[in-house]
Amino acid sequence: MDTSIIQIMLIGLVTGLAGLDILVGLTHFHRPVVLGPIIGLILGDVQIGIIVGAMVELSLIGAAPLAGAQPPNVIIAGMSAVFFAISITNLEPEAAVALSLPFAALMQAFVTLMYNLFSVFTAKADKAVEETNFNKITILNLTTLFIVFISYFILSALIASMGEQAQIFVNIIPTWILNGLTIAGGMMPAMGLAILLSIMFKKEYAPFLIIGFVLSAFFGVSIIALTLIAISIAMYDMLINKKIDKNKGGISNGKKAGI
Amino acid sequence: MEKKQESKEKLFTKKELNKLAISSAFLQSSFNYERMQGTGWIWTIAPGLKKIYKDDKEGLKKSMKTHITFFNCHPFLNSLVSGIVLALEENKTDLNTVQSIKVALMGPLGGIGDSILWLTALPLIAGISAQLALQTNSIIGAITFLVLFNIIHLSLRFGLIHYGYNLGINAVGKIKNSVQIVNRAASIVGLMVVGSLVPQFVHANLGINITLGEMNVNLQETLLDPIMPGLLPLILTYFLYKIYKKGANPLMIILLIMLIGLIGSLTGILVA
Repeated sequence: MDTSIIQIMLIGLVTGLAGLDILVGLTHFHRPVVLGPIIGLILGDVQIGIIVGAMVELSLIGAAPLAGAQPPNVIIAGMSAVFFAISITNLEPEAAVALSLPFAALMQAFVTLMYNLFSVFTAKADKAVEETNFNKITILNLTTLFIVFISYFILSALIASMGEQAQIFVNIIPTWILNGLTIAGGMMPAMGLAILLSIMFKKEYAPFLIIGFVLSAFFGVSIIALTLIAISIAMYDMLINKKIDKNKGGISNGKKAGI
Repeated sequence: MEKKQESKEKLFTKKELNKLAISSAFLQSSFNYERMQGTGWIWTIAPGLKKIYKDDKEGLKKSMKTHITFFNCHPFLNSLVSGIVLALEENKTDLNTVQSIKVALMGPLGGIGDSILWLTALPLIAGISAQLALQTNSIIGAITFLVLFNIIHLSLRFGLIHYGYNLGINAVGKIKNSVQIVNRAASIVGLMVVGSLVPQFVHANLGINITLGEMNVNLQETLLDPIMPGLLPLILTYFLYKIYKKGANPLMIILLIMLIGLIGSLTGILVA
């Protein structure tokens, strides 16, 4: 089946919007179970869109962005699986899903690249804050959202126009660069936390920082358990301080009485 | 004892809060590895901050500096933080307290959101809907998914901002009357959360292998991890904190980290 220019553009548009939805908006129309039928509609076969979309959904069911870690990209997986199932004659839905996975991995790599790139942009946000300029922050955020949109648009349009041939792009970024960016992405939050600490940290609170680190690093305590422990410590600290204050008050009152 | 008047006019109307709930959906604009949702967070509460500070440029600047920092929460439950933070800001609560409360909230809310929403609600609704789609061969599956998922999503997003705002307004009197006590308690919880975020979010692993007699062992697994898991992330964070305090440029550091990542990957010294 040949895909027309209008179909390619529509696929790019819908996939681009889905790319925005996974970050902002979050109506979750980007999940394959919904995106599948929409791509199917554009290509003139809603039925296959429904079936393949649902199958991709079931195979990627646990894929959610936990703590900023990127699972294989559900949007490109859903989009390309439906596209292959419809455009390649006699292709089994299962095979279409399998065919889509390299592209999902490619987009995952691209997303890693973007999140590294956007780290560089935070310097611009700091500058906007120095100038108390909210418009600059708006422009910055719209710029990054546009980059996200256009990335999804381009990749999905390439897949829709080149079909399986688009696989040549899968190896476009060398593995060592990809690994390097993943490693860098892993170290990057240290900077964000360092800035946060420069605002929050005082020497007298060092023990609590250490306790938090130890509970998480050594014992893998969940954040909820950790918060409850933290609240308990804070409550104890509050009560002890109240008692000390009271005793102080008592002593000074005693002194006064003595005089 | 005189009782503080709590029935003060609230600055934000219900309608305005609903608008802020909508903007809270933009939390993850400019999502990046360094501040995570920080650049998005300040955007989601920008209309609120503008209204609170009006012409007070200095005050606004200080507040903006508080809100451009590292932030990471579940992108639905962040509206609860918005509500509380705006109530505290509206009443000119000490910004250190605001920052600590914000950090103390984002961690556990992120955890609750991950386990209840991302790992339970989403797979459950998606699973049911996908099965429905395959059984009926119709778009009923897709519609079921969108409706069920967004009932949960939107009721949390809109409900929590009002709840958080009222909670904040009611608590603010108590907070203001005992600034030092609350600030200390919030700092303790906040810094414990930050401490736990270091090994959770910062990842640095050595890929170096050494030959011990006949064994080829990985330095990270055999040496560093048994001494202290998360040792490298801790050293890295401490080092960056020190040089940032000395006035190092964050942009340069970010570019340096990218370079280190690339070199580490090429030489095999660092692994993901």
